[in-house]
Amino acid sequence: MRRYEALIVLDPDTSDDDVKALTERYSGTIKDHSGEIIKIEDWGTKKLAYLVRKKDKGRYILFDFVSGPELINELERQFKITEDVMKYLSVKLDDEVDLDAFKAKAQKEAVEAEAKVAAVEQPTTEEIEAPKDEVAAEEQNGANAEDVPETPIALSSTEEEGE
Amino acid sequence: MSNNRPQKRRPFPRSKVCRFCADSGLRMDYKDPGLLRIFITERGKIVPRRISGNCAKHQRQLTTAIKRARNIALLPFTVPRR
Repeated sequence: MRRYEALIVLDPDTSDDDVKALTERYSGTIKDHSGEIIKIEDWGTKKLAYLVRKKDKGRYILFDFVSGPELINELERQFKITEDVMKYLSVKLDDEVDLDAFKAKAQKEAVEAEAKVAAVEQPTTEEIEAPKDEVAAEEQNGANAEDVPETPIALSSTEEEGE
Repeated sequence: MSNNRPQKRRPFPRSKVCRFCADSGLRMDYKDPGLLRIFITERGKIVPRRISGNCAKHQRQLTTAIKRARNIALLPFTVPRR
């Protein structure tokens, strides 16, 4: 199994329903060829760097998946015959992906992410209380704030005397 | 005429260190046209290694990334003059 990435540019006039239908169709094709989808990203409508079919905008959709090499032929054949697909590009990211190991890793990362979220949430409650004390302390010292700038000057003058 | 002699070297905007080597977190990706745009000229040409300062390995990866980005209309092939 190999890891691939396919980026397609759809006609900007395609309706959201059609985009959804197309994405589902392609993900269906991937699954039919015993591929595993890692993620599908919709980048939305972006400006193109040059005109494609006399249009200056396009909707980008990215498929990230693991599959065998036969799928790419089939997928690109489908991209070619679909009117709405203006451009497509498929790239091999990785040879020899172990699907089970990959899934296990993804699960582990998800668990770690949850743990991180939990860890982040706890300190925030503490932090909210801590700054309040500091602010209160600063306000109390506000009267003495005028003395603070004088001390560095005094220090520098003593250094000069020492030299 | 003293055109043959290299008297005055033009100031050359070049960086000596390969940015991708210096910053290992920086990844070359055709999906990131913002980063790749640093390495193309105003007319859309790929900036040569002697100017960008990239090492050979990263320049190779960069050209591939730029060419892929061009293919999918994220970067221009040329920027026509008006």
